[in-house]
Amino acid sequence: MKKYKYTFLSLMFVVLFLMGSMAAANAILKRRETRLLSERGGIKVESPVRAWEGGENGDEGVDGIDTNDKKNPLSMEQAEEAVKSWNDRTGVTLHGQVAGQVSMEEAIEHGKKWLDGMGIGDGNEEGSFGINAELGVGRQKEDIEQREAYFSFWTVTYFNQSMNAVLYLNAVTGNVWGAEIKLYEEQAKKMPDGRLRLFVELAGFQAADEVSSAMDSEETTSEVKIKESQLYAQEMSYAMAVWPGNSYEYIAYQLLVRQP
Amino acid sequence: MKLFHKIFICFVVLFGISFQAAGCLLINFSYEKVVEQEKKFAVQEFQHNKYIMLSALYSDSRMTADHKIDFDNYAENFSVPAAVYGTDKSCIYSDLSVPFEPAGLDETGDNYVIYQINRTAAESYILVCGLVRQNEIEAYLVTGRDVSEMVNSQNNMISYFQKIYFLIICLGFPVIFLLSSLLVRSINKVSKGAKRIAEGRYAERLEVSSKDEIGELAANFNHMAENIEENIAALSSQAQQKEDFAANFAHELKTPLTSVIGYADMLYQKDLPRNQVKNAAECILNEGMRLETLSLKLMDLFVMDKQVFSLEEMSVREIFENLKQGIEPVCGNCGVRLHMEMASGRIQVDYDLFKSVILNLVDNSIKADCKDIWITGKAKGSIYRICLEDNGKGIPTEELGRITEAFYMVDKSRARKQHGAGLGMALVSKVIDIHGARMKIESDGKTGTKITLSFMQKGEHER
Repeated sequence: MKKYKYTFLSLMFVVLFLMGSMAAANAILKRRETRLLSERGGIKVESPVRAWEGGENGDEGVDGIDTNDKKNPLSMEQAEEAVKSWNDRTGVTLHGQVAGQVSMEEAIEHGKKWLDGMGIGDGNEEGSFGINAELGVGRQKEDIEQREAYFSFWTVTYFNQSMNAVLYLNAVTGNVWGAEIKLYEEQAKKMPDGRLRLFVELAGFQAADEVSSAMDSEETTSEVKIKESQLYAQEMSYAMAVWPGNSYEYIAYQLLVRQP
Repeated sequence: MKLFHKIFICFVVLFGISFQAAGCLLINFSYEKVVEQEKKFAVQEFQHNKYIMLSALYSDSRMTADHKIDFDNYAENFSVPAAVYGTDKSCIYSDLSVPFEPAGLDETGDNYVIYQINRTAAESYILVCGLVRQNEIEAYLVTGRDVSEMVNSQNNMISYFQKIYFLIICLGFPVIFLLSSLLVRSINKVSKGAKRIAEGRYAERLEVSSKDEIGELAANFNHMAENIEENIAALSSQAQQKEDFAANFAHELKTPLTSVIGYADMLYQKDLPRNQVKNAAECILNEGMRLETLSLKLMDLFVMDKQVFSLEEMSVREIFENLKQGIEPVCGNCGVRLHMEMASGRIQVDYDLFKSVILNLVDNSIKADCKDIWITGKAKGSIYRICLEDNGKGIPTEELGRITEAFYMVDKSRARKQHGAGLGMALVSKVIDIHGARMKIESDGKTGTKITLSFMQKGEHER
């Protein structure tokens, strides 16, 4: 019996140690959890874009819509970069407005002007629709620390019973470089048609002469090249009947970069 | 407590501490990362809802001249639970399910938000608060990101980790037990072996199966046991030799004394004729001479052990020239031919001792009824070999190992007849040891004996 005394004592010690170590680890982890889950502090919201100090191209910049009698401050390469980055986004990182970017009010106003210019909506009276606007930069697959301000886009949504228009305005130019519009009820009948050239002009670019169109049973797609650039504009439209009596027309405008 | 128990406990404690420490660090690291990630998401959600509020404020400010906004209408627009605080830190609107502490609202700015992680029994939220400013309206927006799922999943992870720990310990117990036994097994073997050797079984050896420290210990232990066995054998042999010496000495004393006493008694008791008296006196004289020779040689043997001799470098040729003068007449008297051929060389010797060696060896050859004795000397490198060969009766091969023992005689009756005491070769062996030389005895027991003495040569060869 004496022979196994120490074996028994060792086993007892080991079992006690294991129980104790489990309890100790639990206590440590709980303490850490309590500390983590009662944390308070401040976060400086770093902007993912740098302040814009003006374009280098001056008068050589592409013509933009004339909001304040100013030329488009971006060069064609910068415009191409911005369009490509926005189209390739995997998500949007929202941020506050930085110097050189249009304000929310300006973006909403530009959007409204664009809708008027494109003949979308019915007069677009004050208070006739709800508005939501947010400023963000497209998240890329590769992590880029801080980008130029022209990579940011205002996403302005105008919505009411007969319309839902999502406009993408470049934050530096304030021009609409993309739009997704749904028109319901009566508005659907006033669907704009063949306004791709106008979209290009309002976006601040010059369209080439030729417009190519393709149509199938469900949707119509038109494309037009933009002069002296890899950019081209695309218009895509189709009609959708969700159920009888609830149908809408969808039209989307976007700028694309042709792959070399 | 045995080593096994110590090793077992150490294993378990080390394993337990390492596993728990690694698990805690890993879980803590992952928890911190997840919370950081959730904070980022919470800030993004705040930005999103800030824009929702800004847009609504923009729309409303155009419609209401007095800028009085009903924030309750915004509730449906916010994508997450939110609260709106006025600049006086009063709550204007809230649908948050956890309390928000508005103490730090002043710290917020256009690009600076504050956050609080608050929890109730069931829910945990990361609350982000920042200033929202539109035209002349200013308010603090608080948005809440529900992280209850994250907290639950972390708690599940902790509980899962403890289950895994328990399971691994349960599975690891027998392994640790086995490992401890394996480690101790070889030590136990060594211990048992040592015990057997300590009990006097010196031929016992430990089995060396590994090359680790325990294997080395076992090998060293075996080496120690071998040395002990050899030393004990040597001591036993020495004790035996001393016993034999005492017995031989007593016998060698007793034999002549018996004759002396017998003849003396006879002379004392009887009136003997002159010729018998002469014979008895001759016997007494002979036995007395034997006793004298015995005592002298014994004295030499003992003195040699105590005395320090100074060796002198001498020419071998010179030594043997001198020796020849003494040996030749003895050989001539006995009808033995002496052949001597010495190569030049120098060895370190005590002349008198060396002379006694050669004379003893020549005397032994003569006593072996030889007709010729060849004494040759050859130098080979740093060794000088002196070879003494005869064609006498020789020594039986089985006796060769014992002839240097004191009182050992190959043919006792013949030796006694020739006044031999059996101490000559013991003396030769001792002198050879004193000179640091080596002696090799070869004989087939029929055609003579060859004795080779090897000395280290000193100095230059004679020219």
